[in-house]
Amino acid sequence: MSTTTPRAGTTGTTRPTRTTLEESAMTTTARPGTETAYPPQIDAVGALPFSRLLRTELRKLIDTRAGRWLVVAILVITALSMGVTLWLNRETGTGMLGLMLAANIPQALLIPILGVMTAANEWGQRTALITFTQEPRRLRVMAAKTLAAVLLGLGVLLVTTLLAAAAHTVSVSAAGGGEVDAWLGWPLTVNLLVLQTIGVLMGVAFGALFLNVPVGIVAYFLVPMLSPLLFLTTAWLRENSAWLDMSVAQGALLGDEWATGEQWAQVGTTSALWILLPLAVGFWRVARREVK
Amino acid sequence: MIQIENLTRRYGGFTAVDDITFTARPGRVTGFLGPNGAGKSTAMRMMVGLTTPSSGTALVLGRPYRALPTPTRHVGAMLDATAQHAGRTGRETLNLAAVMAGRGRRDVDAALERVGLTSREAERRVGNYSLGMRQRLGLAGALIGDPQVLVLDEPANGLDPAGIRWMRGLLRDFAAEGGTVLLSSHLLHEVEQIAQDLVMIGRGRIVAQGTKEELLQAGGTLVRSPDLAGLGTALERDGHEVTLRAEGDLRTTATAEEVARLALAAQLLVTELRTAGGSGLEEMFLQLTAADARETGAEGVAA
Repeated sequence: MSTTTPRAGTTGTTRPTRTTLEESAMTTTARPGTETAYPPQIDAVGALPFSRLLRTELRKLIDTRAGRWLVVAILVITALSMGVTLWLNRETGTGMLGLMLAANIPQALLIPILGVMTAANEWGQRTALITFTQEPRRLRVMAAKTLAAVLLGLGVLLVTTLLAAAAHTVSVSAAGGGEVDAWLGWPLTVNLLVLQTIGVLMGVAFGALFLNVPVGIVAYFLVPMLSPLLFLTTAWLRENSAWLDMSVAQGALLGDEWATGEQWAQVGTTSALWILLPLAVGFWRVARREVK
Repeated sequence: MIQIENLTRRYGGFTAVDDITFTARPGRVTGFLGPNGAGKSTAMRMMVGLTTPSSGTALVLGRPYRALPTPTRHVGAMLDATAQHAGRTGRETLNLAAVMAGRGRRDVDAALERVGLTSREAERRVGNYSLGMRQRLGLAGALIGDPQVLVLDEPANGLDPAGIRWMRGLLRDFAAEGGTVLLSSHLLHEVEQIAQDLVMIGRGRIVAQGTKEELLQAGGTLVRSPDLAGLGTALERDGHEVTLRAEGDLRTTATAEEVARLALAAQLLVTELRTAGGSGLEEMFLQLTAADARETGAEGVAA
């Protein structure tokens, strides 16, 4: 549909503007005759909905060559590592647990890179200049980025599970007909969901902390490698490393049994230290930083 | 409409933008002119909420930019044409802008057409674009929300003469339809061609502003006469300022008509009489740049 909308400050001229049904309806409901310091059209346009931000950020994750290839690489490497597991267990057939754990090794390394990229690459490519003029509420953008990365990470997990189910079916029938059981069980399902989410969030946190993709990735790789050294320095740290060392705490989730309450608490404290803290500092930086 | 009041931005002891006040009016193209490093970009970033002012206000359409709902529907900004993701295609860049503005695929096509990017060019990655193409793409992104206000930082940079002429037409049309255009440049003749109002800034401060005609008039009148001394005396007696120029003529604050009347009354021969026009503005601009004594400033004028 096409209507004619008068423009602000127009000196008697109007020009046809495409207007959506919704907007023209809103224009007519705008209080006529009320004197405002600004043209009424401003209120005829609604605020930017979060769904739009989320859509944009999801799209940005995979609309560049780097992003697309990262997702493809993750899936290919996942399939390869499952293939190795299938081959090693070709006599007996491979269960879902073994396949999912095989997939988890490369994914735990690569999935967080998605998070680093979404949080940091706008500062390297300087598209932050555009993004934050489109939505000046920067933390809203960061929330959308975080959610988008988590959703993509969980999407990858879903594809991984489907791959594993297919691999499991093939391997069982090739090994001479055992029972096909593609259900992961609740404990493993929950554990994998938590691990994947934590991994993505850690990437986002490190990306936001450094606002630089290479530095974020390097830091994300180095921190889990170097932090155990730190935890060896004193007896107290050694004894309590499960409360501080992320890889120790997450070890409890790498299985198909429920973690104990204490183990969950350790996942909580390590996540607070290695995810929430850098995430908070990073978001604070984004909110404050001058965009150039 | 863009209203800037006492806008200031300090970085430590350095004042990048120093208490500037001006208004960019609807229906007009306002040129924001100054040498490199004068504070134009910092001021423009403050207008669109990317930089927080140390003091003062910048209102766009009567509101702070950050208080606009879906700002790209009201204000189109292009602050740096090179700030595009090199790995995205031109079309995808616009698709993202369209989603954020709540616009559709047809608006992307329309914007591409409006800035003269072919669909084949739009499928190429921005990394392969020339600066001129990036300027066009950036302008398309600014236009996609069908805004009433355009804020453009050095939009003519990298455009060839035909491109500059095209942009002049586009911005003039935009303003003629009631839109507000604020564009910055470090090239005087470029702004002179496009803008109707001028704001000249140097080292963070506004040094001159007004309509182009006013500022051109401020350059004064140039007169040539066999009896320059006599003419000069006559003008000074009438209360006008007079400066003898090395070119062998004199510059005066009197209008051409006043000069002609005085010359007639004093029975003096006048061989040339014209308004100084752009040369006055240019001199002011060059002084501004020279006073800056900066490498970047000097390059800016030479470019």
